[in-house]
Amino acid sequence: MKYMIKKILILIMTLLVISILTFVAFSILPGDAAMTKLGIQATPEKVEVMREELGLNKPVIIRYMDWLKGAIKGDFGGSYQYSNTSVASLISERMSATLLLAVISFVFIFISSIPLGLISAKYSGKWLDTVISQLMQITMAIPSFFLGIILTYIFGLVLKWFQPGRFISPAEDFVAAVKYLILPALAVALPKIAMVVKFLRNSILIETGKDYVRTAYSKGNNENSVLYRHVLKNALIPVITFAGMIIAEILAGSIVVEQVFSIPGLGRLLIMAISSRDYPVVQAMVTYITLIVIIVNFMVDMLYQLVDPRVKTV
Amino acid sequence: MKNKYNYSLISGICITGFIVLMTIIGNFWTPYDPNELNVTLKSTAPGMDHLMGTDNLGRDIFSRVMAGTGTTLYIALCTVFVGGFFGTIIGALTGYFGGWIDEIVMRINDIILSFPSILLALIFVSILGSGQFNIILSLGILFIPSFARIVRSEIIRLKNLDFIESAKVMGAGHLRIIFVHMMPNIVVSMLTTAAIGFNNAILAEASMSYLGIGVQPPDASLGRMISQSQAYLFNAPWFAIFPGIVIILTILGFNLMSEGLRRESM
Repeated sequence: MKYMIKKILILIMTLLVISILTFVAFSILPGDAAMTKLGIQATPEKVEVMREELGLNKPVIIRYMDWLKGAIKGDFGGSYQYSNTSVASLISERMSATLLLAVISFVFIFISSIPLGLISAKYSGKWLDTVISQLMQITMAIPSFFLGIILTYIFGLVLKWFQPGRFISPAEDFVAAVKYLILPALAVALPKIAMVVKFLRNSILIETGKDYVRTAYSKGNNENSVLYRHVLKNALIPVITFAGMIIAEILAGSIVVEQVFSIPGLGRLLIMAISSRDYPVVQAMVTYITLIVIIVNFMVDMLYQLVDPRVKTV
Repeated sequence: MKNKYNYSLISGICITGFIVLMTIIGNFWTPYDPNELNVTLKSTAPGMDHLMGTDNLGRDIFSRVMAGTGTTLYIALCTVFVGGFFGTIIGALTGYFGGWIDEIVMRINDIILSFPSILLALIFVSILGSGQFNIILSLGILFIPSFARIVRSEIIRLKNLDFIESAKVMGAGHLRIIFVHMMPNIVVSMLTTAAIGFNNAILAEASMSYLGIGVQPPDASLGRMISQSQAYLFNAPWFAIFPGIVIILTILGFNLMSEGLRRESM
């Protein structure tokens, strides 16, 4: 319990520090938000009025406190680029597509990497293992955006199984959205599958060398029952810590792949906000992504202790 | 369990050698001027005249790939250098001296490492602005923690070994112990980290250039070429495929090489 409270405190601290750092960084940047909003032709008086309106004349600390007060309530202010739209609504509009993409990718990774890792470890050194390992080596080298383009070419343009760029939001037609997201999810998942398979294979091989495996054999278990009932359970424990990283990577992968398949998700919003210098949106997204990464890590940490009681909580 | 032939190392060296050779030649000579427009040769398929075909503006893709690989390798190399240099110093000092500074630095490292690097790089670039130098700077900073972590754990492992003790007894100073006695022993693990970092840098640069916030024109970049090719995918698939294959080969070559090196050192 004490451990959990300590963890949560660190979590909040991290979130605060990162939001302060980005806030300060964005406010010392050259280029004025008021100018961005009004355009280059604006008169100095108009810019001054706008600065007053946006609260840009106040010192950074006060502005940060104002922002923080809003952020806690879920209000991240207004976007520079889309006038009259709040940042919060921009983000929540685009949440569903990214979330769905991440979930499908995760399912892909989960259902394919465990069997592949098992087979690879079971036949380690044999030709099947060699084939899987080499295949994974190659998959790891393919950038997900390039994979996305190749998939678009084969399935979208040559076979015409789907129409690139015609994404239907999950709120409108859930099944159609899932269908459209299968190929993007594959592009996100494939390089990560390779990582997990390699990791799981090593983890299984380390476990099979341990004493309890010999004991299990001596009790009359055959190879399969030792592998599935004893080794796999222990081998999956280190994979859980790896899962936190994978989820963060899925998030990053979706940002790039969304661009390839023109899916209106968080990634496209972030890229658009960065290239148009829409700082309130970028700031909110940074906070948001930090929150997700931190919470995922926290959950992985807790899960780790739940699964493996040997881990001492200091 | 040592194979008679280290196939990973051999094939890795071959692939990487080919890419590096192509880049070096591309610095002095390309079949055509990579930036020369030729409207009459718009989107011609690969053939004897143009090995990889031409793009939507009639530029020779092979020449552009040769030039673009150079940019990509240059950025990746500089990134690894920046990250490796500062990461090694930070990791060595914190690992050797320990204490509360070590505690704080490692906590910051953990936080940075838990973020996907491409995401942080995007945020850095949005603060610094795009362009070659800023990409190197932001990716380089992001690679510091992974180096620092490896070097730190190796230094801690070595710290209590006998030969370090005897060096201390002989009166060697702290810096001499770290850089003369310890460093030579951790070169292999640093090389493996560098290879992984190199690959991540190539991937990150390509993705960022693809997203349009990486290398800016007129610099050729493989990621940028792929992003431009997307609109012409149906009529000129070679425009996307060849730069992509070169990225894959570069990363694959380095992966195989680091795998082989690791096996060799075991």
